[in-house]
Amino acid sequence: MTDDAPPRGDAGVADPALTAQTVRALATAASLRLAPGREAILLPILRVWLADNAKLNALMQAEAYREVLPITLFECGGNESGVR
Amino acid sequence: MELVEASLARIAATDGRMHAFIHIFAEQAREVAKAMELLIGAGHVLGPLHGIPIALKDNIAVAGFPTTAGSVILADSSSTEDAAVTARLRQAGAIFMGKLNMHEFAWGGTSANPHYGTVANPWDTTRFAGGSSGGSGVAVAARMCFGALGTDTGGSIRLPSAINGVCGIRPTYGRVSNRGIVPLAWSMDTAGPLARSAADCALMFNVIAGHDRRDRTSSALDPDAADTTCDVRGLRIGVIRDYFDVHLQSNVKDAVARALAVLVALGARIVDVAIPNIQANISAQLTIEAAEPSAYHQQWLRERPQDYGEDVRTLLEVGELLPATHYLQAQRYRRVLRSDFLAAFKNVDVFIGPTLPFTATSIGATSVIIEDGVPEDMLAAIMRFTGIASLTGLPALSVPCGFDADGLPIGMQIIGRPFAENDLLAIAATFQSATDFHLRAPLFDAI
Repeated sequence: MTDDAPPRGDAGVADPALTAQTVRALATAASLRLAPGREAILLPILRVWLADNAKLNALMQAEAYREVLPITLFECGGNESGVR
Repeated sequence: MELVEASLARIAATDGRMHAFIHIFAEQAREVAKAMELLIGAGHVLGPLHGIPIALKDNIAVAGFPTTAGSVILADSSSTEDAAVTARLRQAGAIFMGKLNMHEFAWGGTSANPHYGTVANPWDTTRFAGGSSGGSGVAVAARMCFGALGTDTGGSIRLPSAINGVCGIRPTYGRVSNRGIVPLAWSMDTAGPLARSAADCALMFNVIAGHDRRDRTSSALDPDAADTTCDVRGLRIGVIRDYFDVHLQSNVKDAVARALAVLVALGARIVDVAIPNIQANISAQLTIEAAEPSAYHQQWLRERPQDYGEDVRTLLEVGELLPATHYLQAQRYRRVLRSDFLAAFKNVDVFIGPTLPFTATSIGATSVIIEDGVPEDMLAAIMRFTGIASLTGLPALSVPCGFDADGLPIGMQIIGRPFAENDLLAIAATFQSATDFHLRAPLFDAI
């Protein structure tokens, strides 16, 4: 399997989305100009992190967590009660 | 003056190998020391740190000096104002010895700094010093100063504390002002002390803690300083066996078990606790800690990417490419994890476990072997236990609890309720009254 080949997911189904070209396209969309070869460095890290995140994402879809809000940070003035 | 000269002599003798300092304030320290002596002679004591040599991590502003954050991008910066914590230390009479080396922009756990030198472990100079407050941990362990300030986002006070055999505390989020500190991840950044003992940490902590109305993240709650030791009889210690007690180097497992036995012998009791889905904390930690710095560094990353070290540049680029939904799910998970820990505190007073699952690895290692000869990614392994307090906003400290077969320090992490820093420090001080790990120092002949 080459570095550019799509990884296999947990169910053994190949994920065709994450390739070096995908990384470069995402960077372009973010106005981030990657130097030549950078996508090859980022790809294996992203594959691991995104696969791990998929598990976290699935966890947070559980019915028990449906109403959970993200932790956000509001500025607190001297006499305001802040929302965190 | 003697303390300053002793510190300067130690720095001169050892820092060539340690690279703990980026800037040394030799002449300024001597001038301030003379002034401090005059004040004492006239019967004036500025505060609890009067005349004590302290050093600060170089992402914390000291007026009139650069705040490099371990980078070349900020090498030519000049801070016009003290950070809030700097001002409080100055008002308490501390003498600043200099600015300490760190992992570049605090985005890493080894303090292998390509611009200012890799910080080396004083117990074995072929080993890493931990990070990102590596210079802080080393300067205290190697007796270059009597205390240091660091910052902790994902573990950056606690990791170098454990790795270098000193005490360090990450406070409750908002307990110590972040004003004047170069940020890493806004929703997790804290500043705190590293020192030779829990008692010294407590002294420094109670100087720097407190509301800062100029920091919008600063808590208005100002708990009183407490006694520095406490009676641990009846203390309920939560142990999460299926997380804190598994997949550790055997030296670490044994040291923490013996430390818990010391506390039990003093009257504490162990309560087994399970926190659901605690394993997911690593993904959440990495996602938040990647996305937020990438937002902060957006302009520099586009204008001068070549000026970052390779590892930091890579992490910043990765952070730019994570989906927003992943970041938000991580922020939702934080609320769940915090809620689970707060609920558990109905039945326990503190949680105790290892600060990290391994002892210092060789400088330059990007992976670590914990068990069964299998190499693991360094970043995820290093934050496995420290990320919990970072995500939940709870206070956590690391205290020395043993040494491995190679004589490398092992740290124990104590996590407490919100704003319970003085309780944690008192428990650690009580542990230190029954042990001597904190009294050992690296052999300087070997440096």
